[in-house]
Amino acid sequence: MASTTKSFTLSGIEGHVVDVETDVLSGLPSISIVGLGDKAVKEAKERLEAAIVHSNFIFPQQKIVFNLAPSVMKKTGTHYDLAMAVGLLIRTDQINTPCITDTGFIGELSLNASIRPVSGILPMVIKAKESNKKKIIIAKENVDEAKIVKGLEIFGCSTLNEAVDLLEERPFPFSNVYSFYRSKNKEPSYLDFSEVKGHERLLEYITIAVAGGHNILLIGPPGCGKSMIAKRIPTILPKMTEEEALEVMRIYSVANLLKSPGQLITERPFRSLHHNASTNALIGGGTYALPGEISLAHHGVLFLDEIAEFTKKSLDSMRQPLEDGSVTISRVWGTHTYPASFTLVGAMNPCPCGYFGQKYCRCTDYEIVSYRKKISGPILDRMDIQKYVGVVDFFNKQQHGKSSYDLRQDIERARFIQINRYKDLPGITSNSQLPASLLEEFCPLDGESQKLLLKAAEHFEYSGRTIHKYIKIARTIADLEGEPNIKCSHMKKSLLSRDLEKDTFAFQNRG
Amino acid sequence: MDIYWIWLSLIRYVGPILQKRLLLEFETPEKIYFASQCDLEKTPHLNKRAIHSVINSRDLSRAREILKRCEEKGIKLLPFTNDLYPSFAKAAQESPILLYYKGQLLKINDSIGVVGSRRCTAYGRKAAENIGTALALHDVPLISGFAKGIDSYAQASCIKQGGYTAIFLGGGPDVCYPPEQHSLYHKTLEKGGAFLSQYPPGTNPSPKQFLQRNALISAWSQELVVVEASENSGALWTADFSRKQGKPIYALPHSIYLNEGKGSNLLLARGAIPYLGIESLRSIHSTKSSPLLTPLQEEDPIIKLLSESPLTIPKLQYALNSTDEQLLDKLVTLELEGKIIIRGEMVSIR
Repeated sequence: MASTTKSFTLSGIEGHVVDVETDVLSGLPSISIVGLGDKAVKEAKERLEAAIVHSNFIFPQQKIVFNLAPSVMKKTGTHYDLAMAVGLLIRTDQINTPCITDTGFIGELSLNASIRPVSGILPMVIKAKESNKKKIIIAKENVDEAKIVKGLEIFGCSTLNEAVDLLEERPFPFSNVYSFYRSKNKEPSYLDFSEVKGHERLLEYITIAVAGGHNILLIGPPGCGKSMIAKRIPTILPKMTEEEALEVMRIYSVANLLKSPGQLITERPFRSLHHNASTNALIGGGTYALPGEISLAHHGVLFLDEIAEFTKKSLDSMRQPLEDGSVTISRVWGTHTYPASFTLVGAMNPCPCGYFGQKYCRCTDYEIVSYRKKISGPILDRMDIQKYVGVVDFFNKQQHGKSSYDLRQDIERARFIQINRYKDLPGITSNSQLPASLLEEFCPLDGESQKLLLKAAEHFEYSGRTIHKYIKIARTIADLEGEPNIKCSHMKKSLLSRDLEKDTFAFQNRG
Repeated sequence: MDIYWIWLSLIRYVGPILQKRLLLEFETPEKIYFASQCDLEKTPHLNKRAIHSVINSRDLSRAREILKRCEEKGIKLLPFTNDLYPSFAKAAQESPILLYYKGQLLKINDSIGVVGSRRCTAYGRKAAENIGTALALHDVPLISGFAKGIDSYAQASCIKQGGYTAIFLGGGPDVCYPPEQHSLYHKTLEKGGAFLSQYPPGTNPSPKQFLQRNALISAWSQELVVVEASENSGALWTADFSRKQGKPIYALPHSIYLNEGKGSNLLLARGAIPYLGIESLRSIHSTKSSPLLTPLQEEDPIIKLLSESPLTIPKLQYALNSTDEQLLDKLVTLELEGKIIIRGEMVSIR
């Protein structure tokens, strides 16, 4: 009878159990691997043969068939090697193990029978726990990452023989608490918002954006400090909840980008992109539909400097993820859905010459409009906050910036209020994620602010979505001030948060 | 008969000068149409090529087509003999015998042409807008060319203040060029302005036509203001026509270090009258002053401060000596009233 060992496959950041069935049939010596594996899976046969021989086992000279079930699911990767090797050894009765169904195997074999680390461990181990596996055998290098999941035994083995010993319950000298990256301190950051001077009013909106997870667009002449401000945003990002952190780690595990696998990521990701990034780099893609920058910035910040220089196609491809908080990519090797709930921070010049509103600017209204049209309306609409960054009066001594520490305190407090408010709503941790249907419940407006909003909406001909954005931003402002209700003053501040839209309105209605 | 007017305006080798010479001789275009060769030969200074052209083009089909199109698009004809054709405009030799127009054409007695470059400075823009507003307040029609930049700023502020504008286009009167200004085009029509052109409806603009358009702007204005012009700006051509037509030219003084102002400074050097404010214009003196001459004085101290130059919020705060909260309150209210625009820290008048 064929033996069955358990391994896992990935679809997006979700793991799935794969049954690796092994049978040895009579016939000419051959190895075939069925179950929609890609080239990497098929190449396992050579590695298997060498590894088994070098581990002093016998590689049967018969017809060997591996089936990776469910057979309709496309599979990729080299991490099935270990499961196949163990399966073959069990099938040929070279090892004796009482119970194999509650053990998962994830690992690539080298020709010398050592077990190599693979990517995507975290989501697979999470799946193992969900499907009630008791034991997981993986490469030693992967143990740190897997250990983040509690509630099942994780064994790191460096060779196939070690794994066999473990299965046969022979004692062997290895330590489970092996770690490559122990106690690696976070690099100290030399950036601080106190270095940003003269932008107090703008910083208020940066704080609002970070506190509520609102997208923000900074518009300003070259050298005014847009990038300087954006680069300091990581210093004030609030801590992630454990749930968020785990989700982020799963994405990074799939993308093989975990820097210190043993530790739970606590810092929100901050991804910064150059503007020649392709659509695939941004959204995700490639043969195996790997996560792109928007997914890597999940629960964090995606900073696009010179956002107007990105191709229209790349920018517009973010429309749907910005709204849904997830992205689905279809490629030959699968259709994957990755979470992509990020705060978009963009920076751009206000006009082709960059000095809009200053005396050197000779750009005509239409040049300005066409320059700004590089960012399509729908993307602009999704930028909750659009603020001009003025030129700083550099020698004004009175101006002191607030430090990152202070700002972060405020933001953490506001986030805490939000998390508490939305604790019954799965997937919502900040005001920006609030769907329109819940606005009335969580963001009631008093008569005065309602009137103000109505007046603004009539004057500037705001769309429904824009009005919702104003309400959400007002909610965040109230949270930052610790106010339970949105007041008129909050609404006023909120109404000052979209500068660019007002400009477009002014241009269109000239005359 | 309108159709003969159109026919006459279309004949090759017969330009405005010959057209007018023919009209002088035959009185109506219809008579020209039916004139025999000997009659035509009797006309003084009419060359053979023109006579030939008149005789060989006695075909009304194109004119009929244009007439039909005019009716469809609501475009009216302004023949040379019409009362609405100002006499001072007739005096210019470049004035064609027929103009097409869309909108409402009023009797124009005094008129000021305002022209300038498309790529303008904030200074030029401000001046253009002030002139537009002032002309509206003095009830003096504004003549301009619908180009981007100075032309359109002057026009927009004039109609905003309720003034009358007669705009000359380089294409047909129904062709909105530049297309980006379609909202201004429609707004002008809505407010009772007129778009004129010597080209039949549907004609696309071309560089040569813009030059002729410039001549028309000059012909229809009794005085011309060149707000801003670089060394090879089209506005200088308009000024050139005005000089030939013997009309007063005003030019705004500019910094000598600015390329954008070199052309207007050059005009000053050549004898143009410096434009130092609306009082400089002669037409303004002839109109009776009315109590509405100055725009409504703004009582609000913020608007007063901003009308001089845009300011940052901290500077406003310093000048008004008010708290942050109070000032923001007022600014938001003013913005919602459409009086100011806040861009980050910068506050300016709409």
